[in-house]
Amino acid sequence: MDQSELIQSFIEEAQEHLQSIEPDLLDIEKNGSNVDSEVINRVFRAVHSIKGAAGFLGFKNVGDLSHVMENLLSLLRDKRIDPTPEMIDGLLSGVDMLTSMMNNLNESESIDTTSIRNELKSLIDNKEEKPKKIVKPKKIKKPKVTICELSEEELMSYIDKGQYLYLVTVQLNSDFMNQGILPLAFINKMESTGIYLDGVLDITPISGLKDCLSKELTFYFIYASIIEPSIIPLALDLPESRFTVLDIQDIRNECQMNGKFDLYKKIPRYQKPNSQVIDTIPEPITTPQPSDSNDSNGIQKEIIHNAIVTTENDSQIQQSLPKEKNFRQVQPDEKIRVSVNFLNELVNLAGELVLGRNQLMQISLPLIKQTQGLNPVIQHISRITSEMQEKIMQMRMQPLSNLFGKFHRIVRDLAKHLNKDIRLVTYGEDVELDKSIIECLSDPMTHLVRNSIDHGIETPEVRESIGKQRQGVIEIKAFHQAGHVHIEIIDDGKGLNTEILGKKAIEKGIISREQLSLMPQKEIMRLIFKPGFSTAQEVTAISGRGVGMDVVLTNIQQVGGVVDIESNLGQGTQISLILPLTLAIVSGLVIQTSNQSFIVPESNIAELVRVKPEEVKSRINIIQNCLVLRLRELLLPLIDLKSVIGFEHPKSETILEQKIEEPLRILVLKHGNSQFGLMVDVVESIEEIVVKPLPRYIKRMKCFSGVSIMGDGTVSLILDVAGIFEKSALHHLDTSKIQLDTKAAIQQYAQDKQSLLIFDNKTSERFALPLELFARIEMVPASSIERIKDRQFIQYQNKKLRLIFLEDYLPVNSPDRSNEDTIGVIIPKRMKQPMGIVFHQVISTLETVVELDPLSIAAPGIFGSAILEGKITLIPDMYRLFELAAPEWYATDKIDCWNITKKAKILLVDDTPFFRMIEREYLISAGYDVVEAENGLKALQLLESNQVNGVLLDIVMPQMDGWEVIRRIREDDRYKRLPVMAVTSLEDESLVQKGLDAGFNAWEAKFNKMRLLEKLSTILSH
Amino acid sequence: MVRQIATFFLGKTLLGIDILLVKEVYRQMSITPIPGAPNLLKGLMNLRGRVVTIIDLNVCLKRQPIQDVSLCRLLILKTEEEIIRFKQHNLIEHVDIGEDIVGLLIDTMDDVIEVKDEDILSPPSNLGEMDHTLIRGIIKRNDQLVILLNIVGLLDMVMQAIDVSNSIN
Repeated sequence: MDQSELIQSFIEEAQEHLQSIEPDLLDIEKNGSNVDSEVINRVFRAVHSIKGAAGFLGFKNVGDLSHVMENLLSLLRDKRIDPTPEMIDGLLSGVDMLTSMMNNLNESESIDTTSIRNELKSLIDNKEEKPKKIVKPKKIKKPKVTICELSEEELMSYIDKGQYLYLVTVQLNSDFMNQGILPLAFINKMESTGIYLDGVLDITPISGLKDCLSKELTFYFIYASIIEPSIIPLALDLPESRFTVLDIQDIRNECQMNGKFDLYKKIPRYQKPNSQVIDTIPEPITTPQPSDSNDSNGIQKEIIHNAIVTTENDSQIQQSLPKEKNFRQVQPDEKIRVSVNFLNELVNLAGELVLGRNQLMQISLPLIKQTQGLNPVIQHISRITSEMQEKIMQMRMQPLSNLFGKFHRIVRDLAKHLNKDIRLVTYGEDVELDKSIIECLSDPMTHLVRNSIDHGIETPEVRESIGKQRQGVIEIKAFHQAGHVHIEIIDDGKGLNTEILGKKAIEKGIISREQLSLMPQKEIMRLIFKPGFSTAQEVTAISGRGVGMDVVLTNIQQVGGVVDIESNLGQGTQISLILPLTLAIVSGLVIQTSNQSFIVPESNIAELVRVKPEEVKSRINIIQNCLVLRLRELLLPLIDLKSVIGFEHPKSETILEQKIEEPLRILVLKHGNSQFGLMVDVVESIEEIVVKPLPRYIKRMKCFSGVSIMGDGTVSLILDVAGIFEKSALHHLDTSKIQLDTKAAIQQYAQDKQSLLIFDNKTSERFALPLELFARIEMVPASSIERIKDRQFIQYQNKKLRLIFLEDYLPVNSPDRSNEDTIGVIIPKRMKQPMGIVFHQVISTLETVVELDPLSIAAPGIFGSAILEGKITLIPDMYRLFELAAPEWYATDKIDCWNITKKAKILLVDDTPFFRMIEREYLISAGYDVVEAENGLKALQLLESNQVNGVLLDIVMPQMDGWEVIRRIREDDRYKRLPVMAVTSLEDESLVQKGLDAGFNAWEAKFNKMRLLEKLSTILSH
Repeated sequence: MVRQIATFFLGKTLLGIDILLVKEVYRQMSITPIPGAPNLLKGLMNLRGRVVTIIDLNVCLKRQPIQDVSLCRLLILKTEEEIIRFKQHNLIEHVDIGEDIVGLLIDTMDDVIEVKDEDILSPPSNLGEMDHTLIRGIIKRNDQLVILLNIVGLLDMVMQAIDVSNSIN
């Protein structure tokens, strides 16, 4: 092993130790002085081995800190002090510090650990009177055998060479004679792996000839070897308990005191020979436990106490303490450490083996009949191959215990910090999940647990006052169900208040009031997963770390999981994570497009839809060059896989224009909260596939998330649903839905409310029109309708008013009308030719932000649809409707007014997307080219970059209003003569003159299509 | 230092690459094209359970893309993992070739030649369209010239190709 490998394995080992320390410390804290001494021992050993290795590798800072921790632990271990919460706090912060140093070992030297060390030291100093009082130095009788002594220089020379110094205790009878090992052979073995320095044979147990064969003789020797403590027992073929590592510091002190190193001081002798159990002797230095201190280990205790007292300096205490237990239990048959890369390689090879087997089986098929004995062999190989692959897959599985373990600490710390009393109960730690999934779970689960502590569970006082137990309980459960692993995080806190949630969501602009009113309770709870949503009344130090529940959701979804939430107000909240067992293998749907196979992860698929050729026209529409699929009540954006992944250029019309003979195959895919349809050529089958990461060269391609090797050995690309969504949204869906996500949009929308009249047509459909369009609404008896040819009129203000029935021009249901009905007529403002739209009843008027969805129902005469008061509501294009109804009145309007072959380009400036959309429709229908700007600043920029023939300018806008824009336009010599028309909802007559003075060529009200277009053409032709 | 250079033909050009970087030469490829990828990325292939990214060297060198892959051979490069030992012993100059296996489409393999470092000449400035960052140097060999490829430059070019095509779309 070279140095870097050593360091790497040190880090891994230390991290493992640190992880195990934490729960143990919490256990110690919980049980106080009653704690199982083995627990303290474990912690001690872990800290000790970190210290040892750090010292060896020269990480002084790590060594020093663990050293102080070890001192405190040794006092605890020897029961000379009782654990207090302060101590555990100190030790825990020590563990934290060590953990962070391990994470960046190279920088560890620059970290200042003095404060923690001082804290720990002060804890030790305060508690040390107790041992001092008890322990009296006791002289050990010098043995009668020759004293073996070694000089400091000699010993240090081995240490300096990086060797370990061991004190080895060998039982001549049980270790050699009874095993049939010749001492000479042992010495040879020993000399081949290290250097024998000095030794002594303890013959005290033998009192005479009569027991020289039955009594155990113990041979102690000092041995220097480069072999590490963990494997030295294997090298010398002796039990682990026979070895003790001598500490450098210890030797040094010893030498300083006595001028030499005295082996005898290290040897626990004079053990009264126990005639029954000879083998107890090899436990020369074990953990003293006062409870069972009897004669036989009394001496050991003495030695330890002796050691402590002889070394006044507290930093030396532990070094004289027994080391034997510090070896980690090496059980070679139980676990070995394997790098993940190596494992992955194995997974690969196993996959290849399966492939090879399949090929072999195919080729051998015709031979089986002719060749005797071939079939069983092939079957055998086949079975072994499958089994091997399965086992290799299992190697990636890890129990959840490591993950769950850390929550105890989090709960403890946080609860303490927030003055809450919380107990954490975990079940199912032994449930296993793929390593990579466990890694992905850590952050989201921490967030959820933190949430439960911070927002879920009430303070003890509150809990008591509402009749709950003072102590809150958080349960974390893991279990298998239906091929998935479920993890539930349950608290008995206050639960989610849907009212507050809803209010918050509206405040933050995440949903509208109408949407909220339609939401089932569960949906409202799910609002917490929306980006930008935080339920915390105030951001506390604990939450507010920038991780929101939306991140939890995304993280879990990333590994193919599902998050579910249940909550009862006042009783608690349960969050369930449903996770796949492994990431490496996912179930995927194999599909084809342009004769190439791709894989879509099954977890992304909501459903499969087949559209028969004859249904294509009715189920698929084109709106603004975008395809939409009608699926029950939903309208889904429809994406052609071919064009989005770049096989061909997007031509959305083709699908409707070309002759379709085969049914269309559409996958309905879910991405976050939205769905979309994906057109593919062939749907093949669901297969379990092994996911491999994309090569780095194509990592940045949006549409793919990974690759997989198929059964036939070819490589297939796995489609990334999120990426496809993103990519096609850029190309196709930019007008489909106005995103409310960004703050800017929310702010903008706050100003952009429209007043709408919602009405019906005596059918289930709902319609809405902007109130600003209306002059008035008349309710008249149906019997007053007069028919002239195929047209209907009523008398209105002594004129005949043409009635327009929605069902005649729009793709909507026809109502049953009878003469007894009262019909409503909407009479628009300023019409040259009086026309009115017939409706049945006014449902309501509404002032709201309209999220117009132009993809919905696509037909001439409809702007689009929107969800208003929770129902799909159609917004007709009133003027277009009139055009359809009375083309003769409008015929002349299709422009000839611009007598140039090139289309006139109009800059349309309005802050409201809704108005922009309507005006754009007007202009486009009249044959203009349109560029749009949402504010004055943008407009001025666009003027620079576009050759425009005229401007339609709104007056009331954020950032820069129309007055300012016109001022600037007229200031600029280039635009002095540019026709600019004010289009505004301001109807104050006095403003008209002011506008004209300011430089507008015309002033017109919004929505009046006819006049707007007329005036525009007038000012353009001047 | 003496290096061994594996030489190969691409059209009539003799190109070379340090043999320590070569994993193997492969025939009979079944290539999965990557839709939407720049055309220097020819596709992906399965090499004993690992995915190989196949690069059309012709496109990198600003020539006509390869039409018939079945006539080509695939020069498969080692990965970082496989060359780390060579790097530690300074057997090859510093290259970062990543953990993903890359294969270069070539026409035929030629000899392996030995060159001293000082015999690697810097490229003349009139190499036409060929990107200079792709050329490590020129080796004179009898009457022929071998263009020693700069693998790092080549792989960089491939990495950037995606960004370029992303920004166009």
